[in-house]
Amino acid sequence: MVSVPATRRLLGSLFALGSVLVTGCAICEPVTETLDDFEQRCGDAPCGWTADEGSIESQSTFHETEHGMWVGPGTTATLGVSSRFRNTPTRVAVTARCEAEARLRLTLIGTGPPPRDGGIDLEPPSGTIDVEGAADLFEVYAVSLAWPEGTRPDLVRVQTLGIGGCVIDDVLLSSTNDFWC
Amino acid sequence: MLALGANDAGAQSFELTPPPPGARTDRPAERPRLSNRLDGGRLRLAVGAQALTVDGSGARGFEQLANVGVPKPRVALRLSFEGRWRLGDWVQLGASAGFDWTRSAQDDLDAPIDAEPRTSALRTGYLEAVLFLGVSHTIAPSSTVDAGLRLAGGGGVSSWVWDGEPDLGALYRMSGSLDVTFLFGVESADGIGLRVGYAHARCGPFGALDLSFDLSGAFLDVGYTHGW
Repeated sequence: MVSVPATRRLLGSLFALGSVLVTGCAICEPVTETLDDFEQRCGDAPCGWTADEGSIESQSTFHETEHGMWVGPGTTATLGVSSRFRNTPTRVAVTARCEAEARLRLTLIGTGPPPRDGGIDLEPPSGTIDVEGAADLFEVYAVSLAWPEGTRPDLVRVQTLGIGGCVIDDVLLSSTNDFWC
Repeated sequence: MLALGANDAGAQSFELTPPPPGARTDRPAERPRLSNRLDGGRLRLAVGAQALTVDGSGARGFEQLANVGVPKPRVALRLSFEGRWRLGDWVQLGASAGFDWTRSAQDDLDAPIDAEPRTSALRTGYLEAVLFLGVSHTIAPSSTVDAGLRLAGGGGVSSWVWDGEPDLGALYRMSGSLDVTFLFGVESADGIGLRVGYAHARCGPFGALDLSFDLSGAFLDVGYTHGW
């Protein structure tokens, strides 16, 4: 026979456990991952990047021993990231600076889950950050992503527009852990 | 002085006669002079803190770090050692060596997995010449107070640590302060003092961005002083 106090303790424990599961506790805190910090160099350029037009090269940023990616005028460069990330990103941030009258556009392109109704997904999910020129200093630029759950980042593309080039110090992705959330 | 005299018939009488010139008297001794022998020099070991209230180097300093999410340091801690020698009644010259330290600040990335938060810290070591304009006043037989204006200027080496990687640069600094020290002893003395003032230091440039950082603001330190 189960006593009344023991039943109350059992119910209290179940209530506490249920509260943790419902609220997600700290499990749903956003996590940040580095998409690229440009410290891996292959020759004079960051590893993995391909310049479709223009030029890219590795360049010191804060310290002589720390590196970013210089994106020359009129450049379009891409990096494939499809195998790196498990979570759906909710925010993408880039630390960059541009020469006067230069502008940097960073586009994160995702691969969504197949449409449930059998339709055709014409537009891949994407997010774009525009970095305006005339910034002598590095700044952090960020944009939130409202991607459907299950969408994964697939490709990063950077373009320089206008006159001059830009330096990117790093690109970060934030996401919500998909366990319980 | 009392002089004992004798007359006839065995009678004795006392009469007051003035003392001869130069003779000692039995009057109470004068109060001892207050010691003022701590006129050699001072050694001072101090710890303190400086509020970093001004970032005068423009954007290429702490503003750059703030742009990428790393907060500006607000306080620098200080350890210093100083020696001064008296050149006159109110002038002392000396030299000082010090070390300033700011705690490492880091950016506010949330729960990073492999995105390590950026960190930044400044360490500076310096040597400076010291001019002290003030007085030493004996306030009790074995107590002396030094009070005055201290002016100092010099330079040194600064280290900016960014993401764990140090980078060295030069620095110059200058300061002005009011200094009060209480010393207890006669031939040599030990005591404690308080210093309040304003200091400005510029260090750098650092790294590919040629960053330079200003450490400017009011400071306060407490020092142990040995005087002789």
